[in-house]
Amino acid sequence: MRDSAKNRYRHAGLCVALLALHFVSGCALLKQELGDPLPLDRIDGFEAGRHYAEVLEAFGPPTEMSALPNGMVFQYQYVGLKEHQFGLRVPGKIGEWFKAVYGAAKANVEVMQFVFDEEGVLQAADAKAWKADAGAGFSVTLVFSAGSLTDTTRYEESGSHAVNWGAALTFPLLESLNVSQSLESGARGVQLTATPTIVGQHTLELQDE
Amino acid sequence: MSTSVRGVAIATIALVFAAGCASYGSIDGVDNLWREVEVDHFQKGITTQADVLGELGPPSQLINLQNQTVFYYLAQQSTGQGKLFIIWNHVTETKKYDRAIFFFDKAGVLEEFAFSRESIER
Repeated sequence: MRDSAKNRYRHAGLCVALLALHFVSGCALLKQELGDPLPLDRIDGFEAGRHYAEVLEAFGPPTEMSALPNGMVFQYQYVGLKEHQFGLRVPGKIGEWFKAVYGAAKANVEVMQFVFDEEGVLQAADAKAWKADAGAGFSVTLVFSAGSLTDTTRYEESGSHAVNWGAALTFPLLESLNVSQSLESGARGVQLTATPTIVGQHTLELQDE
Repeated sequence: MSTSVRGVAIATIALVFAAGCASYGSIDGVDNLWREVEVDHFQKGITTQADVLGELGPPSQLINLQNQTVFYYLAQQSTGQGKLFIIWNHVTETKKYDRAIFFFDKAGVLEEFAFSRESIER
């Protein structure tokens, strides 16, 4: 009697698994690592008064740096992106060829910032790590696909801002007019990855949205 | 187990584990020539802007500070690998950065410099 109950559960489990397999047509994990994670705990040893050469020796060249009216700023950044995709079989005849896919991405961001005076003496430093919802997307694709469904460009560019300044010449008009305030030129400050354009330095660009 | 059942079982397992693989890579930015020179090749108070330019070429970014000029070099390597199964796909992309930075005084003489711990093999 007990054996037959056990068999019934086993069959029910098998049916559920087969049913799930029928409707789940494919899953994917897309991972991106932009640089190495930062040694955030080491920032505790850096208090005001240290020279910028010590920061360079400990952490190497910053991801971004900029001149400030009375000194300069170093910004170190790391971004890790993880996108999970879940595929579902579309019912009916069309389901033989197409599947529906939902994708959601998470970003793991780490930042260290050092502000120096004009003599290169450290005035302030801080480190922070946080997780962000980097977006979600939905698509209907042919058979299967392993491409990204989310727009994570703003995070992906975090490591190469330092070489983007020349592209300012090809920006749309409103962005070109605003270029003197650009936080990617290395002359006006730095900006965290994925900062919305609602902040002051992008005032003209907002007119375009 | 009959032959036909065994055949179906083997075909099903083969279908589940049948995989496609993909890999790709690219290098952007400047050539990371600083990894080829000796560590003591650049000397604070002696090396000039002309020496660095001659050795490494034009920097990715040139920054004008109040009393200093900064040469910032950046190379970026992207590599990706994909394992494409029927019901499970896994794609990993890694970007590595190789950086060098040089600070010069008003006379164009080297004050400080550093290379990133993260590096790209040449």
